[in-house]
Amino acid sequence: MADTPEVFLLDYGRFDILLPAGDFGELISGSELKDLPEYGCPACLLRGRETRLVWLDNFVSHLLPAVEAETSGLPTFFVVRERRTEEAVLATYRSFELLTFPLHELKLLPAGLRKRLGLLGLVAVRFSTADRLQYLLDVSSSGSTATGRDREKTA
Amino acid sequence: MKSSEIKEALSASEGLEEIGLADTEELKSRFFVFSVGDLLFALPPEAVHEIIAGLEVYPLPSCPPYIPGLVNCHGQPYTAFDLRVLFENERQPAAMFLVLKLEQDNVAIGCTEVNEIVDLPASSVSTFAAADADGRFCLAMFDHGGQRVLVLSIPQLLAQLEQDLG
Repeated sequence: MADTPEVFLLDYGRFDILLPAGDFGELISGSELKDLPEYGCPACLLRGRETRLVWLDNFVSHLLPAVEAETSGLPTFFVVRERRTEEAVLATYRSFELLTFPLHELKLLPAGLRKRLGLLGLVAVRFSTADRLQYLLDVSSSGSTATGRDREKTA
Repeated sequence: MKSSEIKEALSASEGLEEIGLADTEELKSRFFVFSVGDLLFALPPEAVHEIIAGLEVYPLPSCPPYIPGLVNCHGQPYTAFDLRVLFENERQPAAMFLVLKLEQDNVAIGCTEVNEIVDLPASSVSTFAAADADGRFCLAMFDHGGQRVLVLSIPQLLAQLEQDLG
């Protein structure tokens, strides 16, 4: 197992979101899709199959306060690696970069919070050099890829 | 590397970074007294690993109001507790954090002032009746300089958090 995992880093202003690259099988640029789904749309057609669509800004807004959705330019679609029988696509208009961090720089949440926040998709954190917090998300888990509306129903 | 693999690898290495055992249950006649606003609390001195001032609190989702977020203690995330929310339902910005010695969890308690370490005869420390509202999170209380000091029960605090998080 690699001890320097690759992550996609997305800048959310006061914090960063890290997405493990290993969770995704493919990235599709918005320019490659003929019919772009509208922002907020909970599903898209991926190779002719209806697939759950999670907008990252929506997902983050449900986790952390004061996130303004970015909807300009072309989105990127992160195709979540298939788990069980379900497939999902994570979409964002935000720019991102692919980085590697030593594994030991990622820290699991304190034990008392781990289970609950893990269900929401928050797996670990990293304190960056500027004392800025980076949240490592697992948006591919079945519970955490639910849309905001779905999660409100189950709350 | 997938998030599940990262989680697994971090879990496997986590035990190596643990701090030693601490017996926070045992009631001592020596107490470390600290303030949270106007409230006075006490802990056995051996339950406190470190006092760190000026830590930023990072927000967390879906936590009860008495958990304002995480603090960074030497690169490790610690759950920050705001005791004033628990006892008076008011937020209290923390000037410093008491980093606790716990075997199973990383916990830091926000406080406004560290007062002193006091030695008390056991007879001056009274235990709470089980039904006492403040007693939910406390092992005992004592009077110090005319003020009531509550001796915190860390296991009770953690049990409350576990219950609130479901």
